Amino acid sequence: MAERPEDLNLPNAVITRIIKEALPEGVNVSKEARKAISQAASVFVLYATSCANNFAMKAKRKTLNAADVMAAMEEMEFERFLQPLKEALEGFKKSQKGKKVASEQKQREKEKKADAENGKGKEEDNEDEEERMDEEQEEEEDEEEVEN
Amino acid sequence: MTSAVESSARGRRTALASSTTGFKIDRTSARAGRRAVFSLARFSGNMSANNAGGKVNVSHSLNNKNVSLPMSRVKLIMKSSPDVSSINQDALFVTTKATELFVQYLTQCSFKNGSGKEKNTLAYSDLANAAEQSEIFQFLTDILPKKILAKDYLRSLEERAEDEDSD
Repeated sequence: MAERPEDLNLPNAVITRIIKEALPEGVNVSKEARKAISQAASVFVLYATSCANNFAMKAKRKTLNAADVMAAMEEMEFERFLQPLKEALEGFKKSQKGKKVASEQKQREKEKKADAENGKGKEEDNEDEEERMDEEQEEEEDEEEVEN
Repeated sequence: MTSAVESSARGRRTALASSTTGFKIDRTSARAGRRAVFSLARFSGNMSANNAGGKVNVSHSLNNKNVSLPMSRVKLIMKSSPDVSSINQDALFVTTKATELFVQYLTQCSFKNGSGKEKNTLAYSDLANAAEQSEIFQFLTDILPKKILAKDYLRSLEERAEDEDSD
């Protein structure tokens, strides 16, 4: 997938919405200001990433994790964000877990169905194998997601 | 997206990667002496500014577990940073959420520091002022430079030249 320079900007509509919600009702925002805020947000991402990456490298890790980003926020003097970010992250993790369980279940049901159609015997052995396969698949999927 | 974006696409990327725009000179007072600054083209737009006062309220819709900004886009930006190999999903979420909080915060600070008169529009100058005045927004001074009139800039150039001559 080619990376066009425009793609390093965040979508206008969402930025505008966040801005409007942050201001009292009836307050307008000039087009220039909106554009500038959007660019500032992109720069913020870069700055945070670079900062977080330093923490990861210090710990000799190649993958940025949430703690690195939190440490970056503190470094950048955005401590005020730490608490809301922690709470939001908990909520996010819960919803991810819910999704995972649901998709695991679906996967198992699919495979059981396939097995039944193939008329395989020794169901218990197969179930163990399915569980192992599921786990491997999950790990692969996670890696794919993270390192494209 | 406007055509201005397309034409300055490369400039934009440079701006994001190295936080400097093509043709620009710095304007800060005192600390290192006087240097004049103005930025050409890139971030120009309309300059309306009516001013009205008012209370600033906290946005509540951002206080949920979801994010509005697309994580895929945020990831693209993060990956354009040198030396970054991979990013864990939780880290991506936290960065995205933090960016939303940042937009909110920058908006509110800029609005609050406005001219103090009755204000019903947030203008570019409010942002530039916030970047200059708040330490927390120092990293934005390059991309949110204050604007001065060309003639003022030229005049200050002349003054500088005169100072140097008289040494």
